[in-house]
Amino acid sequence: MTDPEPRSLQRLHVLTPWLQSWRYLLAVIGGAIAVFRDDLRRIGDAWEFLQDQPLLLSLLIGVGTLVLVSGVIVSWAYVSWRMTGYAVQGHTLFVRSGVLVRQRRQVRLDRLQGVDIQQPMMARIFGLASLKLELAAGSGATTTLGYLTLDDAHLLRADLIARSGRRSIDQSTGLPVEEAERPILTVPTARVLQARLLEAALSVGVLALYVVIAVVVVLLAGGGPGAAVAALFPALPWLLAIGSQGVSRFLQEANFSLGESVDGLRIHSGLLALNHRTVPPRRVQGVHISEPLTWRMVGWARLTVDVAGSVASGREAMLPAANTLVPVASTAEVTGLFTGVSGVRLDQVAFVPVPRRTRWLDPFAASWLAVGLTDAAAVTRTGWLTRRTAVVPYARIQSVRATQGPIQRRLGLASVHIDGAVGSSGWSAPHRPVEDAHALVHALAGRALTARRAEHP
Amino acid sequence: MSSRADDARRLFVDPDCVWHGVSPRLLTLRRIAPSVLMVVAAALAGLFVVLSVWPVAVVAAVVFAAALGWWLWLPLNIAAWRYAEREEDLLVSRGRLIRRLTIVPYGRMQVIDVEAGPLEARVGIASVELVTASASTDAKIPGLPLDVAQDLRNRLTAKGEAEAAGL
Repeated sequence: MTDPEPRSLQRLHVLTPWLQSWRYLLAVIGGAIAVFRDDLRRIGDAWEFLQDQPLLLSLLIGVGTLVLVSGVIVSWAYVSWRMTGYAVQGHTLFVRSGVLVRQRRQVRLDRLQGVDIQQPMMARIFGLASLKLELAAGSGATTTLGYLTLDDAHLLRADLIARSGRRSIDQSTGLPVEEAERPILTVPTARVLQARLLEAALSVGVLALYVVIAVVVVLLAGGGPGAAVAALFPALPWLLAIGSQGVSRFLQEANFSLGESVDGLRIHSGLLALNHRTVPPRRVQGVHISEPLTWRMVGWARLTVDVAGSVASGREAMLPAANTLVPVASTAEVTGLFTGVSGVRLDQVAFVPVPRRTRWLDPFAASWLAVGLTDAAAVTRTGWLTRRTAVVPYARIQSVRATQGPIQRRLGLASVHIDGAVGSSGWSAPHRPVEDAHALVHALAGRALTARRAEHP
Repeated sequence: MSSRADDARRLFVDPDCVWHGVSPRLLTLRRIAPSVLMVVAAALAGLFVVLSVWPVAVVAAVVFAAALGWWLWLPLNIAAWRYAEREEDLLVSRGRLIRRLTIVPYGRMQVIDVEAGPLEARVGIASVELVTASASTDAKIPGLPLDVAQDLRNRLTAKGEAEAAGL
């Protein structure tokens, strides 16, 4: 399956090294200024020295320094660009990079699961894009290739998909048959903003409660206004966290649209950085609806999916919206899509609630907790501040667990959990009566096997 | 109440399965730490009683009591650790205060780890762990005699392969 490595490589866009390292460059310059502040002041002295010199000499020194520093940076960027390249040969993509430590990477295109086009903010300004290659599980992490002009990125993406052999090819152009994308849902950016504010409202409410209590306690204890203000400081990092998380999430989820193509669901989102992702249905490990308290008042919900192996890669794992299928929509729309993705019709699931005695352990959630088994999947409802509905297809179950703490033992309850592949965010059915839990764990383990066998006849 | 206890027992240690416990040698190993702690705490408590430094003596006595409690608790905890091989899956049950049962279908096993640290190797026991594609699967059986561990691993491997061949 390996192809010989071609001699000549295609080059990426000449701005690539700059786009990849502008953050570091800024950080280095900022750090240098901070560290060498005193020395910079001495440069001021040097400036006075220069002014005493003939004009020509001072110009020579000033320009010389500038040329030297920028020369080093520019030539590093040039060398780095010259030494990076890619080539497509047969069914293999070759990528070479690195100045001091050379890296050669061969990507087997027959293991390609999907190619997404990404445009971080800076790249978008220059009209560039990078490709993110997702490979089948077990054959290495994702590979990023960039930057290219947006047009080139689209062409290369089509070429890679064609070579992966997973799409029929148009004979006249040699490119894969155009992937028609049927739009499913567009979320207005204003709605995303409202939803973010509503969700933050709850945390801000709790924070306000803290502020009031803190101030009252301090004043009652005889502290002056100064002490009362000081008591507010612990709330500050909290507020910052709520704010920054909310803003970053809004920036990712704004401008959101969802479509359907041959490869699966296509997600487009991002205000500053544009993101396009594909969710192949075969890799879906689980689907979740979440309804925060404040959203329930207006009838909104969020839909997320667990995609095998997609969360693993570094910076992206930190993004709160990495698994979002619908950032916010009406409960009816979300329920409809939930059915589309998971094949489970929630109104036809026979949910079994938990017994009344659960109130002793979980007073607010007890009325919501429930489990339902369908022909192909297990559904559970959990949570109370944020109500969640989660479904895991039997074929995706890796193992099943039951747990029972001391209080649960007194009440004759036990919790049941499903372990999914890496990338799944968990499925659990808390506080089932033990006899039900017993039946449930064995039913799940049994169905996991039969479902898997049915998938691989 | 007793019927609830029976139900719980049926859930975590199903009487329809053949359960195997772990080696008592594991208890010996696990008791090393609290034993050492007890000896040290008792010595310190004695020393400070003689020196009449009462606060330190009391702290040492509390540490001794905690270590004793741990020492007494261990056999219950280790007796609760057991496994059962069924036709198509492996059951691992453990924990006394918090009970846990893990069911791993043979078809989902990716790796079977047999591990023996230096101390374990000395007393001739090993642990067997089933690894699946999930990070949260929690199926480790510690303290099996070496030959039992190897036999178990061989059986599990064979069953895993049979299952994979059936796919």
